[in-house]
Amino acid sequence: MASNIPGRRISYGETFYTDWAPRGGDCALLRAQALFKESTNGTIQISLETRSAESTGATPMETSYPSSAPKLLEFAAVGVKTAIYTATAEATTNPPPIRGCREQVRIKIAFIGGSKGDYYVVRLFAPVFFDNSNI
Amino acid sequence: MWMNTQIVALNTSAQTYLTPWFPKGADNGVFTLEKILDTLSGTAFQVRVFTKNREDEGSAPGTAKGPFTVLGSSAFYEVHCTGLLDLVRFEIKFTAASAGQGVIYRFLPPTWYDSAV
Repeated sequence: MASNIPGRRISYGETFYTDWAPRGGDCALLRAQALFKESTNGTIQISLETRSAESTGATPMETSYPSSAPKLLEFAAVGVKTAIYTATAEATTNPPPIRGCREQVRIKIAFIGGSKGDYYVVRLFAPVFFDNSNI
Repeated sequence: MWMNTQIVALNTSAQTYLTPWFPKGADNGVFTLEKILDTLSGTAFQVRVFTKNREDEGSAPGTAKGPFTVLGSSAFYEVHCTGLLDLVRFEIKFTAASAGQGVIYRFLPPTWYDSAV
């Protein structure tokens, strides 16, 4: 995930995941662009999932921004949007959802609602990883 | 990413500082700033992006983009710039109500991208 993922068509009913990639920090900034929309009431939801290296599961993460539900990137129109995941000071053994990255992260992309034939074209920008500076 | 930067007002005059120019990574960019501590009041702290071509002389005028705006109630500020020229830099402006006030902030790595449609 070091470089942008080119535009991809996400169709009605579709959900897919990127490969797992190592985190670059405790916190992450996720940014994406909806390039084209062909849907009346369908939305695209993009979110981060995380796990430790020895795990085979996936834990959904929730954003600190947006701070209200749904705590993820949601597109109802074309444009560029940002979501921020800032790790809390607690240990990573907390139950999900969590805001901080474990050893590996992946991106989940899902088409929500809408109807047959609907689609968006979406591209993902390389996530920006960083660490908290004052915790 | 730039390490935390602290700016402190030595007086109550309006202050303007500029970072060095650096090359753009693509035609468009989304820049993010995290404000870690702010003892200024209100909207006294403003950051903008300036852009110019390599052949343009001097520091001014450049083309202003922005300013950064806050993301919700978070500590993060963002500006979305399109049509960037060869070089980019940030302008930091602030005015303190009293000497000793200041801000600690850092810039996160930008997201660079070219138009796809």
